[in-house]
Amino acid sequence: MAEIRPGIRGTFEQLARSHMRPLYTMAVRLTHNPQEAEDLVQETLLRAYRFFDKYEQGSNFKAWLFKILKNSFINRYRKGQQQPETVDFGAIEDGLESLVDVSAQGGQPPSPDPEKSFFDGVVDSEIEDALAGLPPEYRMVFLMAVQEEMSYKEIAAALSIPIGTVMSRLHRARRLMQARLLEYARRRGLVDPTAEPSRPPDVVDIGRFRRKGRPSS
Amino acid sequence: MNERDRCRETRELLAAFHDDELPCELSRAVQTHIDRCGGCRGFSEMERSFTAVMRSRLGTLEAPQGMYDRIAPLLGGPEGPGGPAGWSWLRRSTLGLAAVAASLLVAAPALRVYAPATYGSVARWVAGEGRLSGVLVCVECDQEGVSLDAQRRCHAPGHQTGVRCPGKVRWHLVANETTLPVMRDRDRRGEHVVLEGRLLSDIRYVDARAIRPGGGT
Repeated sequence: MAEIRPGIRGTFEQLARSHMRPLYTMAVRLTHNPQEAEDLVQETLLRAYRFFDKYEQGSNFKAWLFKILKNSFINRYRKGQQQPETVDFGAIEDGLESLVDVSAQGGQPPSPDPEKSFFDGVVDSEIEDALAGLPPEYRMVFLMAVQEEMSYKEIAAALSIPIGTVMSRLHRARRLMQARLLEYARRRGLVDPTAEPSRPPDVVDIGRFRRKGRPSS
Repeated sequence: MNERDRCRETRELLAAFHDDELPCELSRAVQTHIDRCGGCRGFSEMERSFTAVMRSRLGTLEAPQGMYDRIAPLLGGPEGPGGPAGWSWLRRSTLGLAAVAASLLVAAPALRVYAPATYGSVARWVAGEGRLSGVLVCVECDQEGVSLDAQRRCHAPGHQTGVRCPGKVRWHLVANETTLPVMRDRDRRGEHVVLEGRLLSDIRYVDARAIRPGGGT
């Protein structure tokens, strides 16, 4: 009977322990629920250990873990339907367009040197809220690029998407975040409230989003 | 390209520009543009500021105390890495593997002689090969008549060419050394095409090796 080599468990444990923080953080920001996040991390690690012989030693373990986490999350989400089911996908595009157009029409950024101040002025809960409003596929790319500072190539490998899709999702995620934070900043008077408002989208039709389609007419 | 389109394209690339993820030539073009365009320079500063604020505020969360230790006992089933216990007998039993191999040795030639079509299908399935018939489209916005190029861009930054099959299923073209010659085949824009290659069915990618006109609807 074959036996597990003694070093495998130890190697896995060492790698897993050193990645608990990013793994748990990603899980919390995907599920918005600490208990569900723990369950998701547990499922991820169990699967990771089961398939640890498929892991290529020396490659990016965090990216590999995130790939398993993403698949586990999608499986749980599809089974449990725990996410909002419908919203207007068009609102996302409108939100993006309006944010870009404000400056494109005038040739100036949304207000004179406002960004540094208004991004600096938003509070942590607003950032978390804006993040929670992103579709999961955008949120993962955003967190991997901005928080984890992973390369686009690593993100593409972890999410099994082309690098061009990483770029487009990241661009849209950033715009959505900026639109929402701008809205918060306006409400709190951090920026000129008379400037043309953007439309921060609330939610996304996940099903449509997955198919990358526009609403059928 | 008019100035407004140039600005829009530049702004879509700014995140990748600041992440140092653009090819040199494109990066220089973005730099040149923001040097002479005040609006895009403002956006560039906004993107930089946004990233800095997000990185400083979106910290990683501490995993709950003892979380790994609670998960660890669940990892250590007798099967270890490589599969659940239910399958372990198959992996471990040389007798079982020998029996399967012997069965295949007997069945495969018989299948090849008496059911060549089935044999071919099974062989292609085992190799992960197949055909995909459809129209080349932009996988981001579903636009038809787009071109192909080695950068996987079809008509806009971050957008990529794929193939839409009957039923509106869209497949990405995996960009690698095998696929690139296919993606340079600009003459196929708008045509119904057949791609031959390795289909990665669960994530809808095609690693295409050949492209030719198809006779589809």
